[in-house]
Amino acid sequence: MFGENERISQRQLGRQAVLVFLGLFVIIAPSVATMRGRSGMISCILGTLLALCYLFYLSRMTGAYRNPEKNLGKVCSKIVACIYSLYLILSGGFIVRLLSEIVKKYLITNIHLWLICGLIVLVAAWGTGWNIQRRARIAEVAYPVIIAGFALLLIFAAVKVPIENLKMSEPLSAASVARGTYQYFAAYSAIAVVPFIMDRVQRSASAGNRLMRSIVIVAVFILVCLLVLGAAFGSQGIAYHRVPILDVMSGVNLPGEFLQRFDIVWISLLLFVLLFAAGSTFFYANHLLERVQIKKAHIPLALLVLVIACISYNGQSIVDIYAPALQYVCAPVLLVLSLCMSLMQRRKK
Amino acid sequence: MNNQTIPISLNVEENEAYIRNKCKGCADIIIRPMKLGAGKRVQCFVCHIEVAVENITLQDSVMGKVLSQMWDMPVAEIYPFLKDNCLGISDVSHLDTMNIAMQAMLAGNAVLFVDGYDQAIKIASKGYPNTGVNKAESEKVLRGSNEGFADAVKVNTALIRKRIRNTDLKVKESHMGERSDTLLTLVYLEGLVNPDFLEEIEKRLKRYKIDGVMDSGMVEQLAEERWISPFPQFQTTERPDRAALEVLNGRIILLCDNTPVALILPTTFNSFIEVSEDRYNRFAIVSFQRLIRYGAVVFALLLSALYLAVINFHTQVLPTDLLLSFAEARKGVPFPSLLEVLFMEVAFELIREAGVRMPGPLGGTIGIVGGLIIGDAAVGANLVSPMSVVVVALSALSSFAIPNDDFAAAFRLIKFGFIFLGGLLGVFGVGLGVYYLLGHLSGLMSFGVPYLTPFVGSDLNGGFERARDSLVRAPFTWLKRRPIFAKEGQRIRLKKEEQ
Repeated sequence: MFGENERISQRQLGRQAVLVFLGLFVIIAPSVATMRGRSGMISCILGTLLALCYLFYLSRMTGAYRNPEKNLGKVCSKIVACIYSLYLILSGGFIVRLLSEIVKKYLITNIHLWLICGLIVLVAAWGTGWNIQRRARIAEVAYPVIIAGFALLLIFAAVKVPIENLKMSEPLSAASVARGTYQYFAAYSAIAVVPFIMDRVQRSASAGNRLMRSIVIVAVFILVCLLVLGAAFGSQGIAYHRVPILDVMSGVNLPGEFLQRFDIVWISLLLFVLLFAAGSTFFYANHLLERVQIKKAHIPLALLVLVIACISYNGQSIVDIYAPALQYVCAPVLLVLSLCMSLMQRRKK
Repeated sequence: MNNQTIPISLNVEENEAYIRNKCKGCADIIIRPMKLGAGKRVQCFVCHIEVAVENITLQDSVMGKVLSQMWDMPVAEIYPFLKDNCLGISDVSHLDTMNIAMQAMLAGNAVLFVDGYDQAIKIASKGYPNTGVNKAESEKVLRGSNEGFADAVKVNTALIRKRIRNTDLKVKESHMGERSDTLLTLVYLEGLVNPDFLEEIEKRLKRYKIDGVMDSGMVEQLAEERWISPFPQFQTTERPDRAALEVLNGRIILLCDNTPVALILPTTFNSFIEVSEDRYNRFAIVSFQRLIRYGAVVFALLLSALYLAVINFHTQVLPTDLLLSFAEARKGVPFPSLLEVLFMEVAFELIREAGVRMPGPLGGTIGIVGGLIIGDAAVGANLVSPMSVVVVALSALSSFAIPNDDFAAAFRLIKFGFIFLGGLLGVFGVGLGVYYLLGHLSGLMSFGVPYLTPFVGSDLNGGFERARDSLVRAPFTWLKRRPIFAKEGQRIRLKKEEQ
């Protein structure tokens, strides 16, 4: 029937991208040292430009990804799919762990972390299902609520914070900007999987534009967040907060002040988008494996993500090692793989 | 059911023997032999269900008058007279086989067999006793017709036809139930209906064989896609005006005999929030009421759970004064708040169930008296806090503000899951529940139409005016296009005439 075609619209694709990146970036970006102050804002803008270029490049070479087995051969395509999937599994573990820590710190303290991780994995994996249209519809419905919520809360926060603190007088350093730009760009590594799903998008030739718009929307939110946080804590003060955006929201009140603290709404919105982001990693990892005929990977994938999220060694969890792993391993590897795919396509032509 | 076709014999005695044999032990079936023509030489008999066909009805029918005329007619003239005059009489039709004749009789008509005539003659009657056209009790409106569907499917079809006097309105009949042989009709507007929907519902109606169908609810459960979902995948209405409106939107109405409720397909979440008055009132009022109803959905689902989450886990969100008053209200209550709320919710469900089952005015009374007495007594006995009573009452009130009872019931059921999530895991649990529920609703389809339409899939089936009739309703003159259900290319429903 007409509603069941295993394809999603451009609007749904764009909205998924915003939901996946927005929550994560809002939490992580301000806590990265190079993303603070003026240099952080410049890094954000430059990083966004780099990500847009990368996306433009990826959207021009979707043909190479359409049939990986045909382009790369059976074994090679499986290896490539496994590399992409490993990155997604790692990201899934990171998101689940990050969310669990936030939940444990801000929402429910007297519960084991592994139980929170388990619940998150269960709901993120099976709540969203393994159906591309279902995920797309969740994004389409939730998007206006999430965006309105984020925007309203940032406005409330901006009204509350002392604007005179926003001095931005620290010296600009090219090295810091370059590092920040790369870090911001590396955080967008997930867009490397975009070509794999383009054949499931209606009018896929122009779908890249929609994704670009989503990246710009995310960048606007991040810039506002950086401004608000800079005004609230000062460039140096942010360093003392593990999740600065949650801490700044704890001081925000609703007009009328009928609630003592309003940050619970903010945390709920973040909970939703992070659940969606975690679900995305499950879905796309499974999708990539299915493309190379590795079937029935749902349960092993979910278990793997759960294990990665729960493991902690010498007090170090995936949350602590994800950023360096992303910058020094995942982002370069995915970039090289994309280039290789492009070269293979050219050679075939 | 015996599907073997048995022709009608020229010998009326054979036909009578067949009918008598089939109807052995059926005291309510009357077989009345007669002799017609001059000299009373032509044997005939009429058979019918006792109450379904009254003598007076038979005499008053056109066929009754024809029979009176044949009373003294020469025998040679009887057969041409029957052949020529019976055709074209509105309440008469010819039946070719015994099976069809039996069906016609069991459907509440009188059937006449005449010796030497190889066809039976159906004399239409008022049929079985039924309640007739009633007021729509469960879908009350302040503006618009008060007519409600009746029990008889033919009456219900006529009620829709009365509103859409167009031959494009098609009525397709089928039967379901091996023993009950229940008549089902699909009512739709040819040219507007999407053929996919029509094909799919016909396929689904043939999917199962069942011994008897007593209500459209049974058909609904057999024809729905996801039986595990608590959400109804067919919309129900007992209002002919609503059904007619939906036909004009390109949807299909499924009517079942002996059921005063029509099924509408396909359906969406938003359709359950709409009422027929939404078309009759001004847009600002309608939009406000629509928002209230959506609010009611959220309240009915989440209020109790959020109350538990806040007082168990997140007391910091409450202003100190309010927190103290909550604490004061809970002083002396020995149970945890989760049990308290569960107790009140179960008590409310008991009152509601008792109110529905109680006869006549007692039903309403038990709701008020039960609510007041139990609530007051429970607070007085320190079983629950007054705040829990307020929260549960608000939640219950919200569930009554949802226009469709099947839809509201789904939320009342899911609410219990949310109460546990909120009570045990706080906002985290509620968040997980909301995400899971949204995932479930996103996966739900009704005949290929996403359940969350028009909030999703605006690009499907040629696109549609998604934002103009959803959370709020645009001014009537802006609603120029039909919803997604209508056939592509047949979307314009309103246009301004050139002056």
